[in-house]
Amino acid sequence: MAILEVSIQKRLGDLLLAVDLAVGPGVTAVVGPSGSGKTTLLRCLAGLERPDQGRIDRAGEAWFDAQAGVNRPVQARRVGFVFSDYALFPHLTVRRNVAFGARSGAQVDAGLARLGLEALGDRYPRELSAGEQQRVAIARALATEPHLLLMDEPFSSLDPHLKERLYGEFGTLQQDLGLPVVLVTHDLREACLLAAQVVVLHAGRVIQAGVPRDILYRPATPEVAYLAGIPNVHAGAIAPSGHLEWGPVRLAVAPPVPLSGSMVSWCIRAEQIELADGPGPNVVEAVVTSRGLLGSGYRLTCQVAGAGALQAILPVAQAERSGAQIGAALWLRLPPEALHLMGEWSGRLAERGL
Amino acid sequence: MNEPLLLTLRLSALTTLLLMGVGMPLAYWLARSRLRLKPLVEATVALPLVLPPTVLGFYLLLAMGNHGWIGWLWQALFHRRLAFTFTGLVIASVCYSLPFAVQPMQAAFQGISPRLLEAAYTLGATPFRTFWRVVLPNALPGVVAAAVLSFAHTVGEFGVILMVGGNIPGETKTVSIAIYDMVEALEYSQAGRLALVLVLLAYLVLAGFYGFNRRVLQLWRS
Repeated sequence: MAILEVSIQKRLGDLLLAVDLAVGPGVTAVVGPSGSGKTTLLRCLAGLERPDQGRIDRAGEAWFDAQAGVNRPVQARRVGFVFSDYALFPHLTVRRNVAFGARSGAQVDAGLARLGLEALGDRYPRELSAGEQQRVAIARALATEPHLLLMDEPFSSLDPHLKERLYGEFGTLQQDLGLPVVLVTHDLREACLLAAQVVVLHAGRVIQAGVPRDILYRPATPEVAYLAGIPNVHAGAIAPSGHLEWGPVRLAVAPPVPLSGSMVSWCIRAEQIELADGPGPNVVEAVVTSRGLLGSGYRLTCQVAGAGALQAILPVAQAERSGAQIGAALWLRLPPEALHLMGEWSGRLAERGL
Repeated sequence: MNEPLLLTLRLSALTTLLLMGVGMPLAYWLARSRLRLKPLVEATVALPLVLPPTVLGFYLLLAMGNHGWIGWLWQALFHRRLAFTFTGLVIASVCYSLPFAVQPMQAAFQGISPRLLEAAYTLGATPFRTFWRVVLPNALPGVVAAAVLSFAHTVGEFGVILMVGGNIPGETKTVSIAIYDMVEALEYSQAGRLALVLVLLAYLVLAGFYGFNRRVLQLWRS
């Protein structure tokens, strides 16, 4: 069941934001690169900005309707908003920040307790760490008992270690509250970690909306694949035999196979590429051009003659056993079920040098 | 000797009060507005900074005289003269010190992140409540600076008063005019005493202001 139904257009300089979106219970993440219009979308939901056209409905009640001239003011929408810089009131203590929009003192106490801020009530925002400031911002937004919590890049200013910990805390809190949340982020990994539904925005339009598994493993376009952190995005063609032709390389793909002769873009995640003992179906010969160690294994960049580059992540022990040094030739298997086809090659990624 | 001093203090206090009332909304509007006419308004407000007091005083005198539109309006409404009265002085002082009130407040308001205002709105606060609860407390150093500068600038006013108010004891004869008078009459010791009082007064006001500012800034930054 949709809690919020959104269909809005807004012109932002050269960009036309045109979004149709249904927000369900749980966390919905809106992901996109900077300039994709994601923050503007969030601000339109809050009532901080006015769309040019369209509607925003919450549970059957119009928050915005361009045709009927309805634009419910931000004060009357009862949304919690967590700003990317938190926007805590610097002249008020933590307790008074949380109390600013609260309906009762009991709510303030409950809000402070829920986020573990009881001991910090008399501190000023400048005396808090970034993680504590984020908790105050969330407590303050929740103290108005909002219908919906909107969060604009709430994790972007935190260091990586703290981020990982707060992801966990946020998940628990969200479960306890049962409040619908719309989270805006540029980090698709963060979106997939935290959200039940992910909406990918690019140049003002939704290019894919779905569950994290589909976004990460079945991206709809090369742009989504790029945001999903998939390094191997290439152009290819479908041969009459139903194979994917990547330069001189022929690869079997899982059905459904597009029409023979179509140009496609395809991708494979680095960790889905396997090491093979020798030539075989879907195995290519590749020369290692660079090697780096990650927590999850060695990341190898390899060159496939006549085709292009592949990035693979191989388990440490396996990579060392196989002598995967720079300059070494390896056999890499691209499993048919891991090869994902994305329709016609647009060439746009190539233009951007990706 | 007390009469000019009390008059000066009364004039400065009243002028400051009025400037806060007029200048604060104006400064807030200037800080937030994106109107294309804004530079013209800003230039008008800043004009007294660059004009000689005699020029400003001259125009004010014309406007407040019986044939001027302000003077005429005043006469029609209250059946009283405006030029060469204390009320006329107050109006002239408000015009003359306007930039000293508006500019520090405008700068302070501009320094407040729009996010803070938006945060208050999402928490249900009206623009009016947001101004009192969020904007004003965070702009306090600028507002105090505006009040102090308005007061001190009015205390030190001479040319405009001479043009608009003349030299009427108890009505328009402020300390600066009285000192000028005494020197003209070669009463140097009296002039010296009054001048010293003025120096001390101005010094105390400014020292108090800087002391306040330091404490507030320490509190804000720490």
